[in-house]
Amino acid sequence: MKKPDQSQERGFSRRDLFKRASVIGIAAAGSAALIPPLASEAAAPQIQQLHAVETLTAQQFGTLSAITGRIIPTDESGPGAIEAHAANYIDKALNSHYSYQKDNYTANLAAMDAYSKATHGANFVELPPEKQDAVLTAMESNTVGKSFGFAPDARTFFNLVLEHTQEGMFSDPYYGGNANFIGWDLLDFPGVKLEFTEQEQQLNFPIVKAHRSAYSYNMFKERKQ
Amino acid sequence: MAIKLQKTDIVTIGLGGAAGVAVLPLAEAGAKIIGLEAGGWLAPADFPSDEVRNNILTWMGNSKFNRDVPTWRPNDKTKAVRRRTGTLMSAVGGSTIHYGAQSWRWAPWVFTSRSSSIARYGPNSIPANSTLTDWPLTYADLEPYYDKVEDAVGVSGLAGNISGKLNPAGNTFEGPRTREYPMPPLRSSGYTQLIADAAKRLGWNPFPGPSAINSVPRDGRGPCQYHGFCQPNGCPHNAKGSPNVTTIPKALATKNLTVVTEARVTRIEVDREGRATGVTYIRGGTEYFQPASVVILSAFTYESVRLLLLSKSPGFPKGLANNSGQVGKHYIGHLSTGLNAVFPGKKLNRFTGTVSQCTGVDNWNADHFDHSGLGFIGGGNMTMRMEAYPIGTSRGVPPGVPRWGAAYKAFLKANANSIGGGYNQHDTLPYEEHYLDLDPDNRDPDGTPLLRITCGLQEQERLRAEFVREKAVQLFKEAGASVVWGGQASAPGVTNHAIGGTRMGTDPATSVVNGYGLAHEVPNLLILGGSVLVSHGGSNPTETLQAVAWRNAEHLVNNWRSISKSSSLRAVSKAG
Repeated sequence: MKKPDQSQERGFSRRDLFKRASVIGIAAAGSAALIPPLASEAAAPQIQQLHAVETLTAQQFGTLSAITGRIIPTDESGPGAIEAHAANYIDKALNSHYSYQKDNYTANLAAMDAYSKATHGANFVELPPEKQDAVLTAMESNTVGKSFGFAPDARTFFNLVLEHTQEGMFSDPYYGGNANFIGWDLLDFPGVKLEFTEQEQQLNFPIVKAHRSAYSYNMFKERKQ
Repeated sequence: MAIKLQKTDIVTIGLGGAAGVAVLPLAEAGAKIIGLEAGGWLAPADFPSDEVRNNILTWMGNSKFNRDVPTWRPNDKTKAVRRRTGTLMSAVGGSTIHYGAQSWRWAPWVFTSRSSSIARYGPNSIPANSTLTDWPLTYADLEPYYDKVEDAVGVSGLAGNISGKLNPAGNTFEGPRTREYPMPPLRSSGYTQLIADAAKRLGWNPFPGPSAINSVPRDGRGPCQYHGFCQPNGCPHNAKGSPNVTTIPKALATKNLTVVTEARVTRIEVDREGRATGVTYIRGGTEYFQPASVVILSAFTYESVRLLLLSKSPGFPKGLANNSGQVGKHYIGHLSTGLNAVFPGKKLNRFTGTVSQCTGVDNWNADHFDHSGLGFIGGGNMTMRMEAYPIGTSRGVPPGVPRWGAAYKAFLKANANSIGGGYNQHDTLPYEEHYLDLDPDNRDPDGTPLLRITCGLQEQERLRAEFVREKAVQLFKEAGASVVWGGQASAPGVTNHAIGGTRMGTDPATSVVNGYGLAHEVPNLLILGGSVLVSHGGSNPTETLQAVAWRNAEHLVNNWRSISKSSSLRAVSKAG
């Protein structure tokens, strides 16, 4: 009887995690007091993060991207989920730790277009923002009809995309979202550090933004065997 | 056919928070121990500050728990469902690797809560359907072992009561201690000080919460760096006193402990006399039988109960040590509730620090206040604490704020770093209707039945949580919060605070083990961990179950010959 490898089963292996960490661009800044940065770390190049659509079709990705843009919109208060590439997080996740939800996404994104066409005369991505919000509100309150193919229903899919958008916005940028630390800046979360000083724990102290991923620290990169 | 291994004095099932501590006094006494652990060894590099990996995908549970997650239902009229609401892990050190490391002694009242409540409030103060009993030991019996555990794992804190001498800066409600904590408390922060000042203005007695995290360098390990992402996650600085970095290495140094990792125990075996003969486990696809003079079962409440129920034999047709039908009974899912509050315009900087870096308030815990007319006994402590997470923060907006869109974003931008947090942890009683058994409908990937939790929310628990919630709201408001939300009680599902199921007691008709953790029906089976506790105190359970485990280990050593029916440990030690 062989013990199944859980990490493989979930499509989320440690090895992948570390492998990918090395190719994602990291704007290295600041230093970890406890673990002195190695020369290679201090000199980490400022690579422009590139994004590819790995899992969904261009049409599906466009719809998904538009949804995330309404959940956390770009407005006068600053950039939102579009600029943070939250949809790229979801697209990558559908090929890794959420691969079991890929069919769920493709079916429900199609249902959204069917509903948008029937109700507002165009695919979701082509609707003006207020009409897009109306579609999402109808999904959230589960008032869309049963004939559009939502599975198991519109509210469940809305809640799923909401959760995944939050992950794409506020997770470690290693996963493909939170580009340029847009999500963490919105929360005033300073980024991953390996220590915080007593002063930084005081009220109203302006913590200098570290803007670092966990995987920018040598101790969490793949260990040399 | 299992490969039969050489007999040992003791085999442990699990090397987590309980057995991982108990192996130290056992190994030092000369017992030869095989420690079987379903997971492996983890290192600092395994503990990145990654909320997706740790909190959402629960990497910590991948080694075993994620396939064994019990099912839950609130009562026996409903069908049990699988809904993971807590994370447990299999590794050397167990779930104390990823716990928040709040390390409390329970109030002396907890150990006599039945008789004390009847004496003060009358027999009707105990709910008719509660199976609450006094413990077979008192706080005074346990105090020396709390002391040993605090020294061995390293606990930071400030004593409020040393042999009756009170220090108002510490927790004056605590049972008397014989000496100060091994280390000063974790650092206070702007936020914990804000709360402490408010509690003082209310006339309450705030104090820095106790933590099994180094506040200063000690025992070869460095101090807390307050970098956050501590739960569920291990400490990359090894500041958390989990047994894999404290007691287990010391036990290994005696050369009397052998750790076998990736070993998943499937059965405890017995002979015709009803004595445990050893355990069967699977490692790397091969089945082994490890004979032992004494078997220690310490696999967390859920897996310990499941293994007993699965280990059926002609002498124990309902499962091992279960001819009484008591295995799985008196289960308690700890009632704990989280609250949040907005402090407008203040940067709290709670993305830093660790959850046990907190201001505690014990005024409304246990029997520290008069319950006349309240309709419940017991209470709860509150800890207003550091450590917030980005994704978690984004999902925790107050009622009235939209869950998405421009207003949601505007709320986060204005307030995400101004959200305070706290936790109320309540005394929780056992009830006839709350129990663990094997799920007839759901199995793990090997085809073995999952454990089923039946646990709802009873009236006393609802009233108690509501009472403490109102006090917490009062505290947050006094500290300057504009809005406070959360804290409502709900039925506990799968939880890291799981108590009972093999409770200790003097009466074999209403308990599974005696006051020293030995099974009434299987005299050489020692059970450690939360499953042997009788009632749940109003704070985290780990230090109490560790103190009980240490006490039981010492009792085993002192009565080795009669319990094990083998030669004395000293002789074994010399022979080894």
